[in-house]
Amino acid sequence: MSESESYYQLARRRGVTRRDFLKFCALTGAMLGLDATEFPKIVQALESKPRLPVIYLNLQECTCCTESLLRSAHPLISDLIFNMISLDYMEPLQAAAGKQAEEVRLKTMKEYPGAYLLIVEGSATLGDGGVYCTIGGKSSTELLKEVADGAAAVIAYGSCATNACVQGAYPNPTQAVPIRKVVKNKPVIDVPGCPPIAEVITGTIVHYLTYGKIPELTNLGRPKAFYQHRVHDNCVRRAFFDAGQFVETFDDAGAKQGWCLYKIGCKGPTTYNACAITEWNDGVSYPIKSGHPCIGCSENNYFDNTPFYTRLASIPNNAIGKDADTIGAGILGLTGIAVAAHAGMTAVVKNHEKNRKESNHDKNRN
Amino acid sequence: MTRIVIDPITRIEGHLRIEAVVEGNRIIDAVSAGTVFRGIEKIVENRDPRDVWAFVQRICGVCTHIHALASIRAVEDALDIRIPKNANYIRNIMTATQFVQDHVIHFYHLHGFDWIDVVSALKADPVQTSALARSISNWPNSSDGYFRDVQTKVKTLVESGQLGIFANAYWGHPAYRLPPEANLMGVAHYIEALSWQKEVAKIHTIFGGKNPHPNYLVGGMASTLNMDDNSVINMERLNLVKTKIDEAQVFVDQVLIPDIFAIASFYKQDLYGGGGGNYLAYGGIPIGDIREPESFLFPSGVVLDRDLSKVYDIDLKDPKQIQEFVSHSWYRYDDPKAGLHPWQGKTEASYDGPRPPYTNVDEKKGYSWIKAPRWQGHAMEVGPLARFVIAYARGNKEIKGLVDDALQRLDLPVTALFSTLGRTLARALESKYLVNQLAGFYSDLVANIKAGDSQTFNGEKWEPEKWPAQAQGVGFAEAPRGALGHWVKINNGKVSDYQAVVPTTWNASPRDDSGQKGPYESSLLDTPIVNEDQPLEVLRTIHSFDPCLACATHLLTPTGEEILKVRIL
Amino acid sequence: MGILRRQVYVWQFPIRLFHWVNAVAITVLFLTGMYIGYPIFVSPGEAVQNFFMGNVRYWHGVFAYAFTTNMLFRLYWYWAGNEYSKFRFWKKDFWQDVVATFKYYTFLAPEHTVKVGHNALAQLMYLIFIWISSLFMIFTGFAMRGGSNPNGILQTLFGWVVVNFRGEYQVRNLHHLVAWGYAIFLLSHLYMVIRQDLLDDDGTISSMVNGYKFMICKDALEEETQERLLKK
Ligand code: HEM
Ligand code: HEM
Ligand code: SF4
Ligand code: SF4
Ligand SMILES: [Mg+2]
Ligand code: NI
Repeated sequence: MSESESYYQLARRRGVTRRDFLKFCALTGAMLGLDATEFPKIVQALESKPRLPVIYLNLQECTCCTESLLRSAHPLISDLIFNMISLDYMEPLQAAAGKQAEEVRLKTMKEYPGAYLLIVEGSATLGDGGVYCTIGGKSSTELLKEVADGAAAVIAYGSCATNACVQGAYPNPTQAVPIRKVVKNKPVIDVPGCPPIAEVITGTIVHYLTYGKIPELTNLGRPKAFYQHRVHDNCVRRAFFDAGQFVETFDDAGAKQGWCLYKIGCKGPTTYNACAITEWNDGVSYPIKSGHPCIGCSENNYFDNTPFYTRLASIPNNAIGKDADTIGAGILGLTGIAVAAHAGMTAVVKNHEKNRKESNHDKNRN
Repeated sequence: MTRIVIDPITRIEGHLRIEAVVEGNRIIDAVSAGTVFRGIEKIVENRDPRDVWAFVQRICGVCTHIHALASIRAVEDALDIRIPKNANYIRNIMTATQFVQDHVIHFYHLHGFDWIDVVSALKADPVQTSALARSISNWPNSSDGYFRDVQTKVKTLVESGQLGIFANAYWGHPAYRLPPEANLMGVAHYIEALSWQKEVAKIHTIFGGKNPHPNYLVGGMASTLNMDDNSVINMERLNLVKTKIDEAQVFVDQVLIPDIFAIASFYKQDLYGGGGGNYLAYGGIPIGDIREPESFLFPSGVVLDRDLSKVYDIDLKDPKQIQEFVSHSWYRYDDPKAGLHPWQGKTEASYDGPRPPYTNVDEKKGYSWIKAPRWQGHAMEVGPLARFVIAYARGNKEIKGLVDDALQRLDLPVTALFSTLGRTLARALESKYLVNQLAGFYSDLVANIKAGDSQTFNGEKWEPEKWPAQAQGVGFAEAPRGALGHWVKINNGKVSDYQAVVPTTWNASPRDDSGQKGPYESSLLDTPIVNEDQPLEVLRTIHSFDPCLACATHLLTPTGEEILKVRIL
Repeated sequence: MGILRRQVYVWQFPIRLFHWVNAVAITVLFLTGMYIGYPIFVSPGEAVQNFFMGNVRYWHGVFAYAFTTNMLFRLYWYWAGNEYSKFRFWKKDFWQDVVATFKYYTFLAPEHTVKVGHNALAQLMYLIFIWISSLFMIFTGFAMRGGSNPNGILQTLFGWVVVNFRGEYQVRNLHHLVAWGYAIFLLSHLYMVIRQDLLDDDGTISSMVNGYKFMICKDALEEETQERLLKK
């Protein structure tokens, strides 16, 4: 061993007591379903190893999440992967390929059962026995299950992993599903966004490293620290929303003054993400600030909450649906016609009755 | 004879599988298979054409932005929408930024370890490394102390037994030719480039709100400009853009370019990997408007068989020129042997490959999720090399100057371009070519604002009521990885058909019906393999194309050949 | 024999109060809600001097609570109120009456069974348009309200709604869609009330104000019954 810190030392330095550390190891063990005699192994694995082993899987995705991770300003990605974690497997970055790459993954799984962190980018695919995404000749969904089985926790990173993103949109030809639907035996932390903000994912990872446990989650399983608020709750344009000053079309006079993008389809009011607070690329800007409405990229179903540039998306989706007002006002119109018709019919029937009664009356008289 | 399998090919975007047949230390046949499918072309059917950029942008997060751009151009072409000048300047700034950022990431982080041996860097003398660095560049991070720090970092990592991303690679392979000092310098710049790339991406953040996946808009850009308001893009925002452009210029001039020459000088005898020798570029980065090809920074055209004396013109709308074949892909056409122009194109998955887990694909059947695009029947290579070859053949002064100067410095003939190294060199020179343009684009934008024009969006045809009942268009761009085209058909305000033919579809294409190999496959032929267990040379050639499999996604043996053993690598 | 009418006290004060609070709340919620959907007025001047959209949202919130409380109160009154305030859809005669009334309204039967309170079909409409819709509006509404405090009371009670509609955007979209149900209800409701009043001349319209309806008495026996009832 060199003079570099072990994961245990790092945890200690960051204020985790030995008791907490043991508890964390026991918890990971319990999640794994190991019996108590196995705990010392985990403790030893983490105590003697410098950095937390991490396996990062890229499944059915576009790699924007990887790219976003590279953009992290604090911590720098180089600091994260060389000083804080041991990124043992990650296809886009690792030097080894093919068989050699698979060997590294298997080694980590074997040496750190129940102790490594699994980060998953991309959705699982259930269509046609998994042929829509294979890695090393294996269905990537099977690979996911295998690696998740021995992980301490799973971070579903990005909208593909948390809500199947664009490939999950109607008609979802490959039966893409979120990680949660496949990994049932491990705590899954959802970090949604397309991609998530760099500092949000690195923040989540470092939280886990520092406190030795998964961060507090919202009822949707997302770290509260980043997904507690709607973009709208802290938006720079919020004052214009409350005042009632809205951009009507792109680049109009209102747009030039930074008015609210609500009427051109902003999804900020129903989107939970850190954009308005943390902002993108080291706090430079975020979509709304630059002039484009939020498309709700961290929310389930966001590619079916379309068309984007309107207040009301189609129900159930843009490919086969209509918007609420077309449906609602349509039915109201039909009701109006029905009422009028019914009133007319009533008049006819009553008139008829009256005539009959009158003629009866006349007959009786005669 | 051995059939080696490399799956996953790492340090690329997406999922690629290469199978190669090696005989007597040379590759005699190769198969390239893309192993992921998402069906985005199908998903955008029946959607609002103005939304589609966001869907297809998610084809790829590495090529982020360029699919969005091709998509809005396709819709603008179909509906005959003209964009304001500022929008074109902003699109150009974002495109050039993306090229430079992506090329640097590719060179250091994806391709770098094919040339740079990290473990050898441990043997380097920091003092000599510093001397080497200073002899080639003015870049300030070049003291011996600095290189010693980097070396210590790597040493600590190696000694900890946890090598992370460096674990189990082909370190020490005889095909690595750099001296320890150059390797150490390479590792240092790997780390620096990692920090730098996130800075230049901020240009996208200013105009598009975020990176990856900045925002686009049919009819212009959603980047509102007003120099007299503090809640939209004003001088402070533009100054940040300018600062990042200046930093990019310094990084490319002082780090990337000196490094590529230093590295190339050690590898100039390795001139394998040339491949089929057909090159295609749609042309792009319009200084004026996308409808004015004369104003393109990259000329369009086709060069066949490495013959620089003749450049053919391309017509993206001609049903006979660009066609996609699926006889070896996992898709179904009514006529399996047909080639379909993208406007007639179809994306219907029909898997007939081996059931996973499998050990080999069968090149006699379908073997890839990538279609096989062809130009007048020819398999074409696209990318920086293709762009440079075409610009060179067309006599583009600036590009010709860059190429001739580089070849002279390396003392290589023009034919050296047709190689793995040539591809890598062209990519670096292209970064230089574009970073030089960035400052110019920026001044154009500022000058136009100064002249009183702050418009970024043309809303004349925003509303679907103003569209014809039927329309079709094509949007094209040069992406960092090569020629990109999106073909759209619009029917009563909704997308009725959508096809994207992306650079990696061209490069990683499987065979077509006539058995013609795709560029990856043909470029691997004849590549020397020193060690079958460590096919570093294969990675080098494949990486030199900068594969992007989400964008597109497969190596195979000719029928009837006897395979002695299969090695899964 | 002339047509005899007797005044019957049908709608107790709490019912009438419920009815008008309900009517006002729904009207305000519908109008503010639709405004939230389509904010058409542009506030003049600087943003800081205006809070129009904010106010509309505020009043939507206030009336949402009023509406919900009122509904809870009506629930209590099903139990505490008189015969006419009850609703027994699990009984066989309720469904027989639904069929009979349906026939009457579709002109398949000339007369309907005379009901002092509301007929079963009307009650069924209230069940669908007032109870089920309102439950939907209340659940989706509070789920949206609770959103920004993920582990707070509202979110704990209503957070599951968001999960079941694939995200808050669709919750909101469906909230908007179902809002139209109230417009549809009102149109049919007013038509039916006025029609009833005109055809049977039984004071239906004024009954929701003063509580009394006029009952047509066909024979002396029934007349007697009515009189006994009225004396009580
Ligand atoms: C008759 C009952 C109601 C009607 C007709 C109604 C109607 C509406 C409509 C049309 C919208 C606009 C939706 C959109 O276009 O995005 C809306 C928004 C909303 N409603 Fe209701 N609503 C009703 C009851 C409630 C209740 C009981 C609540 C409970 C708190 C509620 C809470 C909300 C909230 C939170 C919003 C979102 C407004 C915002 O945050 O800006 N509504 N409502
Ligand atoms: C937004 C407007 C309104 C709503 C939501 C509404 C709703 C209701 C509801 C829920 C009931 C059933 C009462 C119960 O069983 O507790 C009812 C009954 C009634 N409403 Fe309304 N009402 C509205 C407007 C009106 C108006 C404007 C009138 C009179 C002109 C009216 C007249 C009546 C009458 C007469 C009944 C008793 C009907 C019967 O005999 O079955 N309502 N209404
Ligand atoms: S721009 Fe969007 S997020 Fe911002 S205040 Fe307006 S609606 Fe809300
Ligand atoms: S503003 Fe909305 S669409 Fe944009 S990144 Fe944030 S959550 Fe995603
Ligand atoms: Mg395609
Ligand atoms: Ni790509």
